[in-house]
Amino acid sequence: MPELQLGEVSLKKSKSKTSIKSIALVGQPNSGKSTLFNALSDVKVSTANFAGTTVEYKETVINLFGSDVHIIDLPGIYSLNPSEPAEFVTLNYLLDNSIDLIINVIDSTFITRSLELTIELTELGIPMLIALNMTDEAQKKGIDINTEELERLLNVPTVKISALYRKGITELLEKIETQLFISPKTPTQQKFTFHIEQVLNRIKESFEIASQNHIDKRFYTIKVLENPSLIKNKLEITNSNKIKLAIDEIISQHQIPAYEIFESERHHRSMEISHKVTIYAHSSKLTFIDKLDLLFLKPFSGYFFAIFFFATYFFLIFSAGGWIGSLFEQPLSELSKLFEPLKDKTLLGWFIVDGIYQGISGAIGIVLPYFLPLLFLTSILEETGYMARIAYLMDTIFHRIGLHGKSVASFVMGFGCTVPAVYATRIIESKRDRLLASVLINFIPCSARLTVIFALTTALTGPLWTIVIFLYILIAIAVTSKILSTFLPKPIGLIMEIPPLRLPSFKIILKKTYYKILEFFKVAFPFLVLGSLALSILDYFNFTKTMNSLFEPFISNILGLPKELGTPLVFGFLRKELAVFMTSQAFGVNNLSNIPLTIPQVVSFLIFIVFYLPCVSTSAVFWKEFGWKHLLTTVVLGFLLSTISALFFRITLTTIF
Amino acid sequence: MLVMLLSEVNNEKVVKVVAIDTGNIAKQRLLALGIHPNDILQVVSNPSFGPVLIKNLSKDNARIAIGRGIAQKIKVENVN
Ligand SMILES: Nc1nc2c(ncn2[C@@H]2O[C@H](COP(=O)(O)OP(=O)(O)O)[C@@H](O)[C@H]2O)c(=O)[nH]1
Repeated sequence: MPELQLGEVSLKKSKSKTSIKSIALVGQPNSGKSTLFNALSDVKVSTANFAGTTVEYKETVINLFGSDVHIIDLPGIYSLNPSEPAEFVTLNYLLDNSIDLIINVIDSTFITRSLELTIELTELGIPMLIALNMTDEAQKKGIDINTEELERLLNVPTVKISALYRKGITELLEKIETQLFISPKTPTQQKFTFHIEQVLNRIKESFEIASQNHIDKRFYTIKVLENPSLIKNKLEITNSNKIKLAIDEIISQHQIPAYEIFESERHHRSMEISHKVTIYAHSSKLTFIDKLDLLFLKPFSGYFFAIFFFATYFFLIFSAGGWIGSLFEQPLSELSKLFEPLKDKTLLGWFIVDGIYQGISGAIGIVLPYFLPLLFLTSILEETGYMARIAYLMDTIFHRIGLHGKSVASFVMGFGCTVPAVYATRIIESKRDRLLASVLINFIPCSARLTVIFALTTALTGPLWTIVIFLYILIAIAVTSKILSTFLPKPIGLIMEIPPLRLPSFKIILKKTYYKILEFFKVAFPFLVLGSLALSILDYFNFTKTMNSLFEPFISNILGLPKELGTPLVFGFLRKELAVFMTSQAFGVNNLSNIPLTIPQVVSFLIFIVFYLPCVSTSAVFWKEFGWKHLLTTVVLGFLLSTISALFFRITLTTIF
Repeated sequence: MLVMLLSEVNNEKVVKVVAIDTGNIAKQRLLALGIHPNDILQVVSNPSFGPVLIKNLSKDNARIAIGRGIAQKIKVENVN
């Protein structure tokens, strides 16, 4: 047997020199695709973005039984009739790329619902493999699945795995080999009711598929009736009249739109299969985690826990950041002494070296210490599924301030980076709702701005002011939203899954943090060093003085801040982190705590920084997504909000102090 | 059988979906997330404001949060 397989594999291998085999992981959100992807690819991963969206996918090439195989982890989807951007991305990828095998990852504890997607996938006519994941959890819940029966009903090889614990991976690999290289099986397709099959038969010659591909024509035939707008640009309709008649006939005979008929037939089939293959050993009782989860979800106790977790989150970032920062202090100041002698030899040279040094030491000594715990803790919140609870709890409040429930997730993302958060608002159908959400997301302090807040408050004001600043930001956003939304119609409601709460894997959290840090060094770090270098050179030519006096009327007279802060604010447009260490650079001090600012000044400055201008990348996204007029509105709005807020703090705080 | 709206069902009560009278977009989303007519749902949390949280007993107890406005357009009936 093994010899035979080897023979087959090497035969294919010579062929695969021209085209390497491609596997796509497809499954519902939280089914464990990424975990499986990690288990399969443990070596190297490249993350990339799909054109036009930031819905991320990961891909890698692994060597399988002597051949290179390309594996891609596609965004989670509930259905092949997409209603969210991630779902469009996955569908289009499946339709436009040549894929040799789909691995349908299923959370075994959600087998019944997941089979609906499985049935839809079989319609593509691509060889498939079902990976029944989370077998460990299914066992705990007393759910057993008859894999042979499932395999027989769908003609899709099926394996039980537990991606997190790396169980069943070997068997999965063996089945992959068979499906890819030895004897690929295509799935059995569902037959719809007689009348629907008749109609499908009648229209199957009424269109051509625009580009020749690997998808079964039947898939397109179904979609022509079910969801015509979806595949419009992939087909050439040759007899639109016939198709129109067919759609009318379905509606008049069944009294419901075609998509409902297909959905309900698939639904019946999946229920039928699920009944045949699933064995419930005992009715599952509420576990400790389930009970805890209810407390997280119900109003009042839910809010209490949310406040508690976020307070802990901020406290941990605060203390860890301060501590990590102090570790770098000594070595970094030693480093600066090394090039001190240069000052007497060539002043310009010293300015250049010092500019680079300031950039590096700012990025490593000031930004990174806060960024690191921030990423780590955020990964934990994401991996456990707690973020979904926050989104659920916040929906009530969001509704009250006139925001669409669907935007909650984007707002939460906004604490990471504004750019993907604005992209994520694409799930909101109405353009006005989307614009409103995006304008406000821009005011949510992203990780760069959080770092600025944490670093400066730690050094100059103490944690109490961090909380004041945060509360103020949230209230300001809510009030702005309320005011803006009175001009807009009421948004419609949300429909969202609350995935089970799970204990996270420490390894995956570390990995996630690591990749984000790597990205920081690739994307942000060069900006920070170059920005700092630019400032230093401008300084040498005394240009910063000109810049500062240009902005002095506004910064000193209105905001009540020293004029030296003009340059950091200008550079903050490039990246908000620059504003923090340019502040120390501007005052010529090498420790944040020596910056000569009073508490009211620090607070007004920080609030101003958070709101005043979208950074370069955010501006670019706004321009692309909404056009320059809306970008301009956002800038003006931000400028107004930041000035009013800074003035408010200047006046109230100086009367108190 | 008494038909009522999902938004009116008390905590812990078990009901059957009779009809989904929302717009097409919301309906497709509900179907994709596995909520179909005739499914048996248990209301986990139905506070006086905010979304209704249900557990779909017909679909592996998957929990779905449904905005109040949409829950007001889902007709259900009691099951015992
Ligand atoms: N108990 C258990 N948890 C798992 C398993 N596979 C993945 N998970 C967890 O399920 C959650 C969702 O997994 P993820 O890979 O992010 O899902 P994706 O959204 O499909 O990519 C994470 O918290 C994983 O750690 C498994 O086999 N058993």
